[in-house]
Amino acid sequence: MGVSFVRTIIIFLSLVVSLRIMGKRQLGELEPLELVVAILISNLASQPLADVGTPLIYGLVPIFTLLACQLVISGLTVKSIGFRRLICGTPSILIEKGKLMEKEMRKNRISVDELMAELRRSQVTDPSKVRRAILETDGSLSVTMFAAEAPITPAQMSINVQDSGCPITVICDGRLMSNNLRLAGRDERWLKKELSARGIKAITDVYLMNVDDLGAIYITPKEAKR
Amino acid sequence: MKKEILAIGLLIAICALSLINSHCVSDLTEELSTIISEAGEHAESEDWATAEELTHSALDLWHSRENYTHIILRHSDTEAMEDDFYELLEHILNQEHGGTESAVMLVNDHLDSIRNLEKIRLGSVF
Repeated sequence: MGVSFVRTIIIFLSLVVSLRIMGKRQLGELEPLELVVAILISNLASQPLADVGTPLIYGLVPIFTLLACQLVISGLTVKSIGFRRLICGTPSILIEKGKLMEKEMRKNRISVDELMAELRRSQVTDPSKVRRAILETDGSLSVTMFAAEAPITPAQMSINVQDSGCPITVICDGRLMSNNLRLAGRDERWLKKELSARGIKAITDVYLMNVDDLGAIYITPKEAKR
Repeated sequence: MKKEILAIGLLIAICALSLINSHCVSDLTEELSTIISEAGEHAESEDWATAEELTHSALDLWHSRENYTHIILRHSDTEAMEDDFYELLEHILNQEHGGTESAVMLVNDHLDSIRNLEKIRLGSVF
């Protein structure tokens, strides 16, 4: 048990350091700390499950140790900017005013092809139109276009657009989502009235029903069972 | 902040339980080693009845901690340990000098290995 505890801490710290040294491009969507915990916990949990001869405590001790380490370190990263930089690194600017920052790209081991692929994912084909592209600490690329290249917004065109808000699901697969109904500022009486107006007898006959802030309703009735 | 304090508490608790566990395993294996070595000495002086009695008491002690050993030791280790005890008992019942001596060494080696595995040392960690 003691050995398991110490080994877990050593492996955890080694993985955090290794992933920091490996750089952002190895990480994908997760921060280094989250990736370490995700990799280790999934493997640790599977061992005692696959081998009945291994006591469960051999999986539980490392998992709870990792959980505690993650909570302590993530708490420290929120409190201290310096610690956050140490654990998660800092974002890197790969394109500045349309110019590719070769040194930063080499430092992060990002090839031009990979950068172009990331830009295309952001609907950009010409780097000269990019004001700034930043490689975030989780490995994703944030792209900001020059003002002249950015999509025009209704506000820029002085067009008044009604905000319909985010549609809220009030019925999901025949089940009433009471909390969502309250959140939408409606009640069951209103719901029954709307359903009967559309020829639907019961809530259980509805597959999906959404309502937005402007009162627009989207309903998909359930398909008849064969 | 509450979560971080809980997490530090959890780390301290796991660390403390690990040390307590290491101490308990050490105590149990040392006690068993002493009884088995004593049984070996009695067997050497052909006091087979006392040797058998001591081996039975060691086996009873091992069985009394069955729940604990099954939780903290690999099941293959606990089963192998029990096999070693029964092998020793068989040699004592058959009054075999050579067999008893090697079985005593085997049980003690196994107990040493369990004790060392649970000790937090550079060797066992790496």
